[in-house]
Amino acid sequence: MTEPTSTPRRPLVIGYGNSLRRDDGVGWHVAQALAVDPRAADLEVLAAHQLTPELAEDLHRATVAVLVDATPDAPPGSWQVLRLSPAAQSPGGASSHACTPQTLIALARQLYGGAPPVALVAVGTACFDDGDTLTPAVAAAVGPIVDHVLELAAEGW
Amino acid sequence: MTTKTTPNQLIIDPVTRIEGHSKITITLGEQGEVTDARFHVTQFRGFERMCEGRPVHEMPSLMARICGICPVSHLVASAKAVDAIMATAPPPAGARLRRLMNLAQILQSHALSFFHLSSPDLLFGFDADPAKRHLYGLVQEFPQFAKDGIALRRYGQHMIELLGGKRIHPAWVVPGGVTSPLRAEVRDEILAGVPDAIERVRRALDWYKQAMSRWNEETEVWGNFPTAFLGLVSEDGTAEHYDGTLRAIGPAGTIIHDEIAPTDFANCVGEAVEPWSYLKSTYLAKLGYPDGIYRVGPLARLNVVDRMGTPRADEELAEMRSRLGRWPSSSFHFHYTRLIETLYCCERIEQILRDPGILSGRVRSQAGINRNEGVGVSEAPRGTLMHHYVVDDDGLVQRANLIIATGQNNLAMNRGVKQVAQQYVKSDKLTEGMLNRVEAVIRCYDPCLSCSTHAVGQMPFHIQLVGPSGTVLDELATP
Repeated sequence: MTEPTSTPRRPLVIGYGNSLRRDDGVGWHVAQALAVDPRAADLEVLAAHQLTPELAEDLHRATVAVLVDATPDAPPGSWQVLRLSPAAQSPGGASSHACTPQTLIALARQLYGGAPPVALVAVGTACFDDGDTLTPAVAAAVGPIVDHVLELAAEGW
Repeated sequence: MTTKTTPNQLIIDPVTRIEGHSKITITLGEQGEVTDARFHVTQFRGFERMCEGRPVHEMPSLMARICGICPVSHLVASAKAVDAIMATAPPPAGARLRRLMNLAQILQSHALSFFHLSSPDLLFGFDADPAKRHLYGLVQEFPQFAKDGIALRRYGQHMIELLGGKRIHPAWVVPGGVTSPLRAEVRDEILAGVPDAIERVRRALDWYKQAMSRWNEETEVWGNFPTAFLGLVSEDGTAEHYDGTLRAIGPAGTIIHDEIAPTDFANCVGEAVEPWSYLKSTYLAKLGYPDGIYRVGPLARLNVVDRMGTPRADEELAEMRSRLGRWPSSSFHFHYTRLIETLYCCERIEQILRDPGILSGRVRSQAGINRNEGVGVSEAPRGTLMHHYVVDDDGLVQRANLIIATGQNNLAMNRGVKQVAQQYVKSDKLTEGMLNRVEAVIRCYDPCLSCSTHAVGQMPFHIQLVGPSGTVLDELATP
């Protein structure tokens, strides 16, 4: 309702995390970098604290979606891409404050009739302490992750 | 939710679907009857001390970090307090733009409270299977309702983002006004969304009115007792969320305080603390503690005003008063009044945006430290919000005091919990339906405990049932 229905569909990138918890904010930092990157001019880029139900409509409108989040379960600065197939997701629970990528896909499908292919870029981290800076290994990975996200968004798989 | 049973005490811990961490203790007498119930806020509050020594110009952006749910409310009240210290006022367009963002905040927060947090109980029933009594349950069984809630919240958040540059913690509201004027294309985009927002609120209101007879029992016993009400009112008696003066009325409409300037708030509001909660309890000073119990928020605001001041909301207010009486007392009616106020927000946003002066480039006054004390008062989604700062001659904060809406409703929430517990707890064993009812009476107030301290993760809830010897009989908690 906040954007005209004629808004052209385009790739969506959501980088999310708590930017005041050091590496937890790596997704947010990636989104910030993309927001000023001329190569991302044709993308819709959102930086968020966390995924919320309101993002389901953005997801529904997108041609493809790339989510970028932190994970404590991988070496700092490494990343892996998980391709989430909408058909394979179960709804799960959804709260007003946060939801998982799978729940967001389910909400988009259930409420708006469909969701695009979604990739999750899970970035390995070292530290979730208070602070607004990334640890060196994670900070060094932001640039290459931006490049990779642009490739993923361009694929339109 | 987890259950814990001990001989003399019943505990619900944590409370769910509210903002912050809390628990409830229910104490039983010799015959198993409820003798007392308390709503404990278990988070430590320390923001006021953290502010000491900070430059006062930092306060608005610092205060916005208190809460991720209503940062705009703290931003506005804080900026107004610093305006007072600078002995200045924003230019007219700057004040209107602040008002606009405050209305957007109330709109999105009310949508969250009603559609996401409370409507699962209203639509499925308070005894429904908790496995489906949540937002995704709505999506599956009442998709239009879920879409309306999501769309309204999104509209309010998007408006905040358009005005302030981001949805959460925007730094656009500053001492003296706002940092940048409104652009015509942003005005037009917000205006374009108004009819759709109104349609969605009307749909919810229409449903609520035809369904409300289902909740006659809840209305009777959920926080239904006489208290005073407090809120801001404009000069002409209409609703006011940004400026105006404080008005407090008794349960039958008797004026207790009227035309109290924000700077004089301490003349009508006193503060008390209890050893069992980190949440302060405020009271009307004229009536003393705890007799000075009062309520703030949408129910209070609609009770203290003569009328809303926008056409559709005025129609709805008149209808509500014809249904419930001039000064409804049940806290269950927070839901109804919240919807009417959401409609008002949509209309008022449109009114403000259609004022040609809204595009003026003069949006900020500049001044230094001209007073050592300042008070800012505005209406937040949950009720009246007061920021009071004392600074030294260099503008460093010496003392800060925040009186938040949830603290002002603290006495009423405690009394409401006791009333519901006395109605539904008849033995030393809790049921899920009972727990949900105790939680739901608190949800009526839409408390935001994160104003007191930041919540980490999901809002937990904790209820304790305490026997006459002080032993915990039973305990329920969400994981």
